[in-house]
Amino acid sequence: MEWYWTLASLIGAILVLMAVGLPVGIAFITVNVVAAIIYLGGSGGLMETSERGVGILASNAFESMTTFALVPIPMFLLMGELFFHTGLANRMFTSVEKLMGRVPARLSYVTVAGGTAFATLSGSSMGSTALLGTLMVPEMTKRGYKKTLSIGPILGTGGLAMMIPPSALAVLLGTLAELDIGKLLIAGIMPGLILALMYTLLIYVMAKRDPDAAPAYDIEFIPWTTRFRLLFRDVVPMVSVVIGVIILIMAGIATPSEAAAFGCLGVVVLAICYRSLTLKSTWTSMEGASRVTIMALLIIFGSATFSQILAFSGASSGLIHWVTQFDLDPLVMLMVMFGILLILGMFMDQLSMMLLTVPIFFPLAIKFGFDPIWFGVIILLALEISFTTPPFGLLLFVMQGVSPPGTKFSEICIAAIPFMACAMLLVALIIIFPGIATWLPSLGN
Amino acid sequence: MVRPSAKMLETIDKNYARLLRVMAALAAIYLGLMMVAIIYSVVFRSLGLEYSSYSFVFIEYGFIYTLMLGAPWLVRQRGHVYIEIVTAAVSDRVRNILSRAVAALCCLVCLVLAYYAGRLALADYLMGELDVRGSRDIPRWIVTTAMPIGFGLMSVEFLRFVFGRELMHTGQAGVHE
Repeated sequence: MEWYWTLASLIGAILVLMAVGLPVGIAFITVNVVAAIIYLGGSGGLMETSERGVGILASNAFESMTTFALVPIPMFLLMGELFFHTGLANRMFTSVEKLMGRVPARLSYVTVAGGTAFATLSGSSMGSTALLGTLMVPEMTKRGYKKTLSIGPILGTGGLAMMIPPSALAVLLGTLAELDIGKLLIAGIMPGLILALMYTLLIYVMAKRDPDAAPAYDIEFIPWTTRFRLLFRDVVPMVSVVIGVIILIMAGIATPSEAAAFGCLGVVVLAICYRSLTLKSTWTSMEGASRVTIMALLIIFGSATFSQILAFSGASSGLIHWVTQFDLDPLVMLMVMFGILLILGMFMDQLSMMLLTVPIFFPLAIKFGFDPIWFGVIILLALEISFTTPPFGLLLFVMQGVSPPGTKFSEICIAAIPFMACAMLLVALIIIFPGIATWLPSLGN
Repeated sequence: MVRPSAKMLETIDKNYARLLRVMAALAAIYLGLMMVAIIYSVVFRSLGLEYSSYSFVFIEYGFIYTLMLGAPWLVRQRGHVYIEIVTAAVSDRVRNILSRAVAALCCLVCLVLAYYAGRLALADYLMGELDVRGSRDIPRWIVTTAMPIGFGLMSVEFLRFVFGRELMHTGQAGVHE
């Protein structure tokens, strides 16, 4: 069979199975089982080829899953769950809100900070959007905030979450693409900070241009001594845990897996200090983290052999040979890949998008001479942008589901546009100045 | 032949559900213990103290055990990521048929994997295959045995959606996770 038919049938079959409602992991496993029998089973009868093919699949899954590199995923998730269920996150955000005093649109800033933390630590932009949409939007609507400054920041935070460590999805991308996970995590810091700065400026400009978009309201004056106490008691310790994780990785003191475990320990110690670590909060956190981990592991299990099948069947090499014969400009190639992710984001979650595209995109990227870490950062941003791009981005629909009654879909789309424009601008900046993504990792050990 | 009474079936179902919950709870506890194992090995290594290399084995095997312990329960909870496009667009009658057909396919795939993973585990056991990990030789069947059990139980859970009252799909469009 020609490579393009193989590629089309493999990817087409996965898409069809996903569309009819198979769990994503099982859809991958189904296609892999059939393809493994065909491509890895060798010759002989059906039982013989099945035994060899599916045997290789099971063996591969065993090998790819018994690895230390995956450890940061559950550890970051556990860290996030502990953060929220022990009440530390709530304590921090309440203090941040108080510290901001009478700053116009302060709830929008708090939403950006809170949304970023929640989405990063929970590993789910959808969960974060649903939660913040339920908690913050009614509060901001009550205070007279317009949709652009209430819904927009929530939709924007997903992009930040993918960038700033600890990002479980970045770890997964690093594992799938066989990148240095520590470097990929560090590479996201500068783009993440730039995007946060862009959002802050955007909210400032929007609130300045249209003060009615975020009406000021009186709040109790807090003396400076109280502010310092709030800052050093409720904010600095929590932020220190995240910064500590980053320093451990950057300085080469610990691997990302070890740093992630110490991040968990840091949250546990803080929770003990604040007397908020209960059996219930610990149990709920472990249960929540295991739930998302198992969900991700099944998908990883299913996809373990996918890239091998693409290589064995000649689909990967055929595609690379075909694409390179056009003598395309690398930038055009990058835009094509970006466009494909934007389309996939209309109906697929980020994990599935990653599993489907990484085995194809990364060999192409290497062929085109892209720095894999730089390319990984662009992919992470593209994954998030695709999730929020009007008019079909999935997060927009999630937001509509949790917004106050009467919120029009068009209002949600309009609210998302300025924030997505910031993310797009960041992608352009990273393309023009690759150092934004590659400089920090080059400093690390 | 004695036909099982409704009460007996109910008891089996209740105990089976309890087993799945206990397995999922063990998966959650395992994750917590993984954190402890990593910290133990890093602290002991940094202090120049001798530490058991079994901690690495415990951590690295953790993903297979966690997945196989928790995945059947997650199937019951509809906790795996799935997308509803077609099942949301069709009538209730068609959804009823399609959802059961999808569950049947999932059940079949899990059974195939359970069968071949079982053969792999059996071969590992009979041939005394070893997995060299953390400078230890670990019999491979210790971990590969988890796969047929996990996939076997998952197939049972999917089978419940084929013949049970509840459907696997809700009919609400979107990504469910």
